[in-house]
Amino acid sequence: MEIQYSKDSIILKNKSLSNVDKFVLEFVDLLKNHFRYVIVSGYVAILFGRSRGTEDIDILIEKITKSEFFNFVSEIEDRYDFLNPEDREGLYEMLSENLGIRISKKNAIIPNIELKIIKNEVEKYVLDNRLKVKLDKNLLYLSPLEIQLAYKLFLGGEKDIMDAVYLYELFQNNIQRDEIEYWAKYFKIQDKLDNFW
Amino acid sequence: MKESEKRKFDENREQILKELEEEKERNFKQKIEFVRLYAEWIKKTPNKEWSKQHSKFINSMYKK
Repeated sequence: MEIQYSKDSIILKNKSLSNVDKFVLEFVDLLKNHFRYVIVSGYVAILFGRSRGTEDIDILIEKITKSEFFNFVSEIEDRYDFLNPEDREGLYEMLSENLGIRISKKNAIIPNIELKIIKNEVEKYVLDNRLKVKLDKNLLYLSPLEIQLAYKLFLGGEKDIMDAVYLYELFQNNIQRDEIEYWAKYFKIQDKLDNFW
Repeated sequence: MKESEKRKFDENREQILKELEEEKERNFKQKIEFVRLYAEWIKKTPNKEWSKQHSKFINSMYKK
């Protein structure tokens, strides 16, 4: 894997894009014109080659007004389905109540985007410190890898631990160990991290 | 199931559960080892090559 890594960006050239990559890139290309966003959770590892599937791609966005959300819906609704049965009022209400709304390509269910509004200062940190990833002509924003890795250990499911191992193996020379340790302490999972090292 | 069979299972239950737990742990460690091995392969393989195989694998999971 040839990557150029810096504190806030990664350049990955010549990646043969999967259909999931294309789905995500197409969606965030629309999303970025409306809101600041950050991709979190499983897709972060999958983008860099982890060999597993996922039903959904989790995306956090900044706090938005109802009219901003309606504008976004108007722009995408001819190409995407909102999988929740609610109308746009109901969808906005769900977002406001920190619930995720699911969006897929027309007449498809999987994969889908689970879109949420940031709800606390940790998620705000993730959004404010998002990692820029350049894939040739495409651009997307991911969670900083250090918090991502600690959060995966916090979740603790088998696939989450595998994702954490994978990201660490891949980026161990680039990521900041003290930041992983900080977040592990924050999530109260130092014991898991001790086993992990 | 016959009563005699049930008794036999009950007798060995603790031992079998212990073995299953050990096997679960062994499998988990093996999976982690494989993820490490796979990450090593990804690291030393050119982007064009690993991503070609990866995209083929990912796409196969979403076939209609």
